[in-house]
Amino acid sequence: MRAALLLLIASGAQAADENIDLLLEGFDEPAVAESVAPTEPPKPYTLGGSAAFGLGYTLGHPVVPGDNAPHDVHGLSRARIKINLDLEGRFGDGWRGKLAGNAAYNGAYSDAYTTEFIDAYESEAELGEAWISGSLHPSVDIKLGRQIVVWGRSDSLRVTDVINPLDSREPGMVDIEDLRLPVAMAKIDAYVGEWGLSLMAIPEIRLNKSPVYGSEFYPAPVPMPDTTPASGGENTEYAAALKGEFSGWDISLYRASFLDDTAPHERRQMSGVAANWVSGNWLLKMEAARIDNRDDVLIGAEYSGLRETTLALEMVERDGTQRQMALRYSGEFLHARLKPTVLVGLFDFGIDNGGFARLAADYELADGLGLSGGVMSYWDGNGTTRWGESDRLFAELKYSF
Amino acid sequence: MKRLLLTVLLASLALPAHAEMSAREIVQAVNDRDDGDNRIADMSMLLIDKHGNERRRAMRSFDKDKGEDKQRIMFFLEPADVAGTGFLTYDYDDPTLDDDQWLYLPALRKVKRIASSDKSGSFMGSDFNYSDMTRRNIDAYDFTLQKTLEVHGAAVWLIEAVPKSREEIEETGYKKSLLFVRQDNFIVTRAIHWSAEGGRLKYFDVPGLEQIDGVWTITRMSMTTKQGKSTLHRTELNFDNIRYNQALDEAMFTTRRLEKGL
Repeated sequence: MRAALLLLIASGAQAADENIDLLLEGFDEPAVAESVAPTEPPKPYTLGGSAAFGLGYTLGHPVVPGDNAPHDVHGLSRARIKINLDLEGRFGDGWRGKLAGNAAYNGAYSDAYTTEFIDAYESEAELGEAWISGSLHPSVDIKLGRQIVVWGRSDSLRVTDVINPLDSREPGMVDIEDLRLPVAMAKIDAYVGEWGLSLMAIPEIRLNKSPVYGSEFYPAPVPMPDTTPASGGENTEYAAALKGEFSGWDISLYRASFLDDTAPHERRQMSGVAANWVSGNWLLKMEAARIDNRDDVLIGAEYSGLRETTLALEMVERDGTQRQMALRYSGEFLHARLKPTVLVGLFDFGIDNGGFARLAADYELADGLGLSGGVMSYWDGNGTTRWGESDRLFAELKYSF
Repeated sequence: MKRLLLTVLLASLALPAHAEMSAREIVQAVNDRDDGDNRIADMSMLLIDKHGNERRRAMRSFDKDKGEDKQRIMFFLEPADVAGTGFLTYDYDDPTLDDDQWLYLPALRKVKRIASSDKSGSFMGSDFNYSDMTRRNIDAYDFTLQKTLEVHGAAVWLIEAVPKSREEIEETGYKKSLLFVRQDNFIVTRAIHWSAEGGRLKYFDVPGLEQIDGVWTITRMSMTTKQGKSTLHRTELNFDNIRYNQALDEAMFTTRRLEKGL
């Protein structure tokens, strides 16, 4: 009996050893890490940027005004080359600066388009962010120049994010890095414990880049004159933010005095609050703002408990009447080589008032070289929009350096 | 008497003569070992797919202990399309507290808080899960000492770690692990993880280990994902310019710094 037990235990141990030996064969991969170059220390100046070629193809038959006659813009809508350049410098003692610019040319447009449209869409070259920043004191930072300041917690809808204008000429089609337009300002940040206070004076008045007459997204049948108010002087905008960050939650309080983006560009007063809470795999967010006598409220949630997937829902009600909703899916597959996204935007809490859906994917071909593409679908609401014919396919090859 | 004999017999077969510590005590010693403080390191990440195609990432990381909690801020340097991306994490020792995590994406110009309970996801597209990069709650596991072996010329304990709950499996992405713990310095020098999904095995290996400023420090490590004998993907991490006891104040580990960049 004892001998049998010993034999049984010995054979069991031998089997376990064989299993371990089999498992250890999994460590047979030859290492190649010697070929990884050590990281170089940051240089005082770095020049980076990107070059991209993008194509767009309108699937429907939207008819838009032209200089001579209305015309159908079915077919190629984008054949665009775009260059972004970023020069960043470090000047010692933590001071740094950035000078960025971009230029683009879209060769897809014919003479049938309006002059206004060609002027706004065919080619452009502009200064982007241009700032210097540093610390006046260990707890006080200053940043001067053209910059972008993002307020709020939402990713798809805006309530308290009123500092920078947007490029909304082609809804849902603007690259995320180009969506906000930088404005010149003086910004001071002071920090005490978990709290940070930001004060801003914004002399540069810049309006949203909106669809122009001749675009399928232009809402009026005739061109509407609009002029940008002068920068500086009594038009200077002012803003302040107080942010507290704590374990599991954070809160920001906002106050801004700014010019309305829509004519006649009256001055607005905004008081707002935004907050995040984290609970397990849930990120909850809220924003609320009183702009003059109007109250806007946003609630949202993100769930990241599914493998390599984030789902987000944001809902906003403006002035108790206008509603918007955004649903976003984003994923990462093939070791973050493939990143699909789906964004559905609705101009109500249902589909009756129109909306859009953007299905896209980014694929990393090689280090710094990416291919993206997808489909953008628009649908009309109860007479509020007329962009249902503007569905399009898009693709872009982008090299970052 | 028979039970006693069996116990002694099993123990004598399974354990080396010098294994006075229990598996739980060994893993506790792994957690408690001196891993340095106020550390700066450059990190090179090589991602290799099953066809041998390579992608590279370069990062600089800063680590600080705050009591029993750990804080880390990491900035991507390469490739160009992700350069400037920053990642800040507060890893709390208290297992009832979720870690605080923030991400800075330069394209958005925005610091974004991340819900972090699920650590089974890939760390920056690599074969490492987030759970591989943070401490695990050892109270959530049953440990069994299997045997002793020699790995990379050093004696190791082989310890089986099995999560006690479904929640822990879902949170880490692993339903079982074999840990190879060096007996001289309590470094996990190899590990095999059984993925909770897909029947995959993940092989963690530490081919580079040095004493830097008196601290045993991993300078090279890899994680290989396998299905059967086929390699699906592999990640190699190289650490360079590792320095401990640097003057890192708390302001380094804030969203303010995350936004300002390296």
